[in-house]
Amino acid sequence: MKKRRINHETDSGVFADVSFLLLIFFMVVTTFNKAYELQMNLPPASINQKSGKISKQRLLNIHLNDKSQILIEGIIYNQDGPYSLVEEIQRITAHTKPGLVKINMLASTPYKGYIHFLTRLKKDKEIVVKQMAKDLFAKDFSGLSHKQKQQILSKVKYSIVEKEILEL
Amino acid sequence: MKIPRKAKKQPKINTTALPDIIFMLLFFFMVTTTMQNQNMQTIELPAAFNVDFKSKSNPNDLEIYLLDNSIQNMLKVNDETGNLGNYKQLINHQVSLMKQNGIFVNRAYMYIDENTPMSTVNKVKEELQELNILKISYIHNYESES
Repeated sequence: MKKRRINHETDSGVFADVSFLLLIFFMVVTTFNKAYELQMNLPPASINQKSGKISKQRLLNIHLNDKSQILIEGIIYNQDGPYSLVEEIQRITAHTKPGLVKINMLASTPYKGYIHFLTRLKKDKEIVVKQMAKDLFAKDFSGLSHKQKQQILSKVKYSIVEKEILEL
Repeated sequence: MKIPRKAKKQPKINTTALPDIIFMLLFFFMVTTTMQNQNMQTIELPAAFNVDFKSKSNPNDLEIYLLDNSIQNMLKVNDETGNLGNYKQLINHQVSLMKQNGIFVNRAYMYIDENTPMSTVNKVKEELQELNILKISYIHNYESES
């Protein structure tokens, strides 16, 4: 009489369950880094830098150091901490001529601080623009016509000047 | 007379108690384990970007990756990698390559490590100005709280 062979194969049915469980877990908990774009237009290199006088009312002076700090109009803030530029943007753009944001930084100022500031400036400009749309047209900015949008954007206008300084 | 042999059956091992033992061991080691405290040097890796915001890389774009920290300094312009000290040659070479292929640079996309000093960023920007590439975009992953 023949001996009955016993099948010693491992049951691999559970592997699929475990794999799916892990896959679903990682799919749920994974977050991707979001990337944001900050557009800038540089002046042509041929243009000579003019050092003219500008009214203090149109000027926002910013100092960035290499210790993640920012100096705005005599007050030091932490770059990661909460601070607002809304009032400053309103001040420098409340004139017929466009405002000027002057960023003074050290050679060792990290890029992180610079981009933090530019992001804050962009966000706060959006707040000023939305506020102006409500004040002038009693509407959300997105609900305005192209002409009305251009009218507001031409009012909230400023240039950025960057300067590398030796010490703060 | 031939007596038929009984077929030998291999006795099955009862594995019901196995998970109990495994769990008991697991709990034991979980409770008694203490992690060794080691002084390790932390290495901050540069942030990796998810560049999905651009569905397809435009051939008219110049892509610049900048990494300048205490561990290494590196510049990558399009597909060419080199040392930051040669930034002028690298940028000029890639721009002239694009020109040879009839492509004029529309915009420079800059991916910069957060610890890169601004003096390095400004040097690259000045070089772009010299080459009349005036439209630049900083790609970053900071979202300021508002």
